[in-house]
Amino acid sequence: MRVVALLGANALMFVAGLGLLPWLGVARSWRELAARSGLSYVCGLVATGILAANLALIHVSFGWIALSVLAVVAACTGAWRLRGTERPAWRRPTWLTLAGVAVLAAVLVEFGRAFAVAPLNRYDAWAIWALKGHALYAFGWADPAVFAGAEYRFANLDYPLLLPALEAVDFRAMGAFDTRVIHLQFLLFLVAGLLALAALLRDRVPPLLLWPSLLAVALAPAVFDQLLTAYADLPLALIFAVGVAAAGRWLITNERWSLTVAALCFAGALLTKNEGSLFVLAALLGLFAAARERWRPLALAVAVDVGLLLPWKVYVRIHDIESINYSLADSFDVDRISGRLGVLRIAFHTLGGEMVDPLKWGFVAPLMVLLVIAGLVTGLRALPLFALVLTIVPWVGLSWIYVISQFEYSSYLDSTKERVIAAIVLGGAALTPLLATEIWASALAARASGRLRSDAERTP
Amino acid sequence: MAGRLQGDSRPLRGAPVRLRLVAGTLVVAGLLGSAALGAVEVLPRVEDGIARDSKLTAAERRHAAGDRLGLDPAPFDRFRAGLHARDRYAVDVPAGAKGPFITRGEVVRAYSAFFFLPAIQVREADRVFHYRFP
Repeated sequence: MRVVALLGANALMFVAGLGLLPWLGVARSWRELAARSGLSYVCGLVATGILAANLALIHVSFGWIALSVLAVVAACTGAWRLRGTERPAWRRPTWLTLAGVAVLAAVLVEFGRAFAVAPLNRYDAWAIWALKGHALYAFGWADPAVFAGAEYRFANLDYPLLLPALEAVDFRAMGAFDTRVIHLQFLLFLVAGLLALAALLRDRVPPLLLWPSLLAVALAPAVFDQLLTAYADLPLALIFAVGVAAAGRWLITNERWSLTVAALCFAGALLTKNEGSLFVLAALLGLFAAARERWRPLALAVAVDVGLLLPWKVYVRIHDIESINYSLADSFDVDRISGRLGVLRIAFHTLGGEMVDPLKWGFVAPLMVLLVIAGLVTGLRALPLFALVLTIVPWVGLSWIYVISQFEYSSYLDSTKERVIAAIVLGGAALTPLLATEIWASALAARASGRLRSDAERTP
Repeated sequence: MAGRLQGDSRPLRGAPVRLRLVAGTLVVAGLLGSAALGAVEVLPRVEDGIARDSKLTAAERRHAAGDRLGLDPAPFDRFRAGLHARDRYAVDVPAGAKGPFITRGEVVRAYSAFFFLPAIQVREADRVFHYRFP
C-alpha cells in the first residue's frame, strides 16, 4: 500500500510537470506536448521539490492536498494554454526505439526489486537526508530546533532542502516514515532523468546513438550503487545532467524552451546540495563562453536560479548556520593553504581516475573526452567548449575543496571521491550523443560543401 | 540540419567517408560496450542485494544503520519506547575512539538524533539517554 502511495505521489508530480510544460514554453501545442512529455516527470519532480523546500522555510507543509492542488492547477491551466492547438499524430516507433525502451524498462524493473527491499544503513543517507526528511514530515516545516539545532550540526545543516522536502512529501503520502520504500524514490530519479534525456535528445540524435547512450548511463555500476545508498549525489547528478543536455540543445538550436528547462534543472541542482553551486557555476560559465552573444537569456536564467536559491540562503544567514566541512574563505588563509597545495594535485589525479574507472562508469567519460577532441579537430566550437568548461571547472573546484577542508584530506577524499564526480560524469554523458551527432552532421556538411566547391570549379 | 547554430560559420574540415563510418561505429560500439560491461558488473550485485536484503526482519531493518555501526540496539529501543514527539532529551555517552572524522561518541549522538526523531536532542534535558560502549 505504501508503494502505491509513493507511486501515486510521483504520478501527481508527473501530472504537475505535464501541466508546467506549456508554461515553460516546452509545448506550444498538444503535438509538442506529446512529443516532449518525457520532460514532464523531471520538471514535476524539480518544481515540487523547489516549492516544497521553500515552503518548508515559512512553516507551510506540503503533502497530498498541496500536491493534488499543484497537479490539478498545472494540468488545467496548461490545457487551457494549449486549447485549439495542433493535435498529436500517431507515428509508429522504429524497432530500435521499441528495443531501447524494452531493454531500459527491463533494467529498471530489475533494479526496482533491489530498491524495494534495501535497508537505510549508509551514514549520510540516515544522518543527513532521511533525518531531515523525517523532521520535515514530523514537524511540517524546517523547525530550527532541528534544522538550526546545535546538536544536529553533524547533519550538514547548510545543505539545502530539495531532497528532504521530496522525501517528506513521500512520507506524508505514505502516512509513515518508511525507510525501506523511500529507496524507490531514488530509482524514480533515474526514471525521470532517462525519460527527460530521451525527450531532449530524440529529435536531435539518431536512435542508434540515443538508446546505447541511455543504456550506458542506466547500467553504469556507480549509478545503481550510489542511488541505492539513498545519498543526494546521484539525484543531483541526474537533475544536473538533464540541465546540461537541455543547455547543450540550446547551444545548437537556440530554442528558448531548452534554456528554460536547463534553468529549472540548474535551480533543482542548486537546491539539492551545496556542491550543486559549483556544477551550475561551471555550466553557466561554459554557456557564457560558448554563446556570449546570447548573454541576455542566460542572465535571466541566472537571475531565476539565484532567486529560487535565495530563500534558503536567507534561512541559513538568519540562523547563522555554518558548514562543518569547509569554508571557501579558507582559500585566502595563505599560511595554511601553502602547506597543503600538494593535496590539489593528489585530489585532481584521484578524481580523474574515478571518472574514467570503467568498473564504475563504463566508458562514458573517455568517450566524451574523445568526442570533445574530435569536435575541436573538425571545427566545432560551442559544444566542445561547453563540455570542456563543464568538466574542468568542477574537477578543479572539487579538488580545491580537499585543500581547504578542515578534515584530514586522505580520509575525506577516500570517503567521497566516488560520488562527488557523479555530476561531472553524467553531465558529460548527457552531452556525448549530442556531440557525436554534431560532429557527424558537420562532417557531412563539410563533404557537401566540398562537393559543391569542386562542382563549381568544374563548371566552365 | 534545421536549427543548427553552434555559433561558428567557419568551413568544417571533413574526414574521408570510411574514417567517419569507422568513428561512428566506434562511438556506438563504445556505448554498447559500456552498457554491457555495466550489466556484467551490476546485475549480479542486484541479485545479491535482493537475496540479502529481502530476508531482513522489521527489527533488523529498523536498526540497519546502528548494526552497520556496531551499536547495541536494546538501549535505543528501550529509551525510544518512553519518548513522544517533540520531547527534549540529552545524550550521555563517552567520547570513545576517534574515527576518521568524528569520535564513536559523536556517532552515537548522531544515530540517537536520527533514531529518536520526532523527539528533539538538546545539550541538557531532564530525560537523558545513557549509552556505554561494550
